Amino acid sequence: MLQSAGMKQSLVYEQTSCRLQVEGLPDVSAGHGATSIGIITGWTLHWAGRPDLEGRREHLVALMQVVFPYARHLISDVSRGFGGSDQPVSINPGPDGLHQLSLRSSQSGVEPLRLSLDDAELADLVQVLDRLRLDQRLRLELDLPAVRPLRPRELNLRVPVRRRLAAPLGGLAALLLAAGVGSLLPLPKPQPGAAGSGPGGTGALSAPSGRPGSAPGATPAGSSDGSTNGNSADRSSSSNSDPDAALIERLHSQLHRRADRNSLRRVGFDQTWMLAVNSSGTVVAASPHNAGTASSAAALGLPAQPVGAKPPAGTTLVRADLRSGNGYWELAPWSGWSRRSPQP
Amino acid sequence: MVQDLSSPAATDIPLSGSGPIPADPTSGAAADPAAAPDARPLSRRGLERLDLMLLCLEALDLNGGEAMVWLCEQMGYSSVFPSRVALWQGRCHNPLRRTCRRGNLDSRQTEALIQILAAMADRLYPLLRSLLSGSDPPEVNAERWQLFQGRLSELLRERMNMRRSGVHSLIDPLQGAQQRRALVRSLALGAGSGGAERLRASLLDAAA
Repeated sequence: MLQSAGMKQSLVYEQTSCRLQVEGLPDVSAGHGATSIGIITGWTLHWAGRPDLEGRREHLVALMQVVFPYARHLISDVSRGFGGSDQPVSINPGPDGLHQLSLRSSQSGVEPLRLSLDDAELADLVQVLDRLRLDQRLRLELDLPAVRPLRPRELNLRVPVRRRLAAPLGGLAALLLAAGVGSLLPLPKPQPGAAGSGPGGTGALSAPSGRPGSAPGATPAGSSDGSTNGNSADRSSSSNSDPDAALIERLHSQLHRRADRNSLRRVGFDQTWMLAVNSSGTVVAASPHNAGTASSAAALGLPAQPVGAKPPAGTTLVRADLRSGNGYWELAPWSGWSRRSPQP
Repeated sequence: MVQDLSSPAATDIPLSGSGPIPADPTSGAAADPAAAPDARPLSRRGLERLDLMLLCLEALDLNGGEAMVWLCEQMGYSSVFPSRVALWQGRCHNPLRRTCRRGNLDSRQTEALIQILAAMADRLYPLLRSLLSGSDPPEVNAERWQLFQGRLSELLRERMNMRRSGVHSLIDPLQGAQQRRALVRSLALGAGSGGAERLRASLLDAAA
């Protein structure tokens, strides 16, 4: 509906619950026609059963700037408020599906006007504002936000917070529960008889060997390779049982004394010995693997008697590696000569 | 002097991006009324919502199907949907349909359906508003919703795949009440010329 008094024009838009009347003048300088409105002088929004709203152009634009995006988001079922407390108009979702429209006066000392609109009244408001916006007789630049599709993050707002957090919190709880149950499970015990040679002049039996008196399960083979390490291809183990721990300690204590430097200088290189050790830890016989002289045995404090094909009764065969650089012994159960190593 | 001229009705104002557009004098040919401002195809959810909203309008208006065809001709979309069968085929791209067509709507078809939807919503705006109104007596309002829910359920059972949980939830009297209200509210807010823009943007939302 257009009403004009002289040059003053009035546009009226009606819906069931509201009636919007916009008054203005054509902007002659911009070449507007007599029936156009280029300058808004005032507007009034009549509500059924509510106080009328009126204001200037900027208030009308502020109203459109919050109502249109709010309606757009509602179509996508996203309830989100628009307009802050510092703006003349704001709209927010209210309880029971209502919509809270807040209008703040530019005059000081005036309390904000709060209106609760239902869906029908909101739709009426959107209709009248739409018809005003699209009226070709309104020759105004309305700075309205562009209508665009929502991004996934914005769409998440329509999912309740509880449902959004349910999956990540549930996963975190399951992780904590599994970690708690796992921490209650007993840890496997480490295997005894771990090998290692440490400082201090003593070696340690790196692997279980036969008990005292057990026959060396060695089946020496013919060929020789002079390997001091004794890494034989088909070494047969002398025994599968663990050595007597006390025997080991006693042997360590006997070999603990380091060979003097002159002796080591005379020896000059790493040696491997097969030792026959009695239950008290005393070395009864000793046969060198790669050093052949009895003087080496004396220099190292070992008995001159070789082990022989048959070890003395009641003794345990032990492999002893001497590091001439530092005088340390590394002890291991005797597991036989390699095929290529010469028989003692 | 006061001139009392009735403001042009909503249907007289050309819908944005569509409607019978006069021939361009420079080109000598009529501009395509279905020139889509946004050529992106609708997502699966967008197709579902578009068809469901058209179905809601058919539930409100017993002659909704005929009105749709008539509007299609009036708005100049005969080149897009030459017949009611073509219009039905376009709507059958909804994955929830019992007989669903593969593929997607092209941009012209999408824009045409959106404009038809907005025009029909504008035409049935009083009915939409009466459903949403909280000022009427609760019994009257409940009766309106019950009638609408009954008609909508009949259409859903007739046309949609009843094995889909989304269809079941929409038919359910209690579980689907909020969803039905959201559809009606979307139609009321999307009615008319300006509503077509909002409907288009909403249907092009990112697939959730």
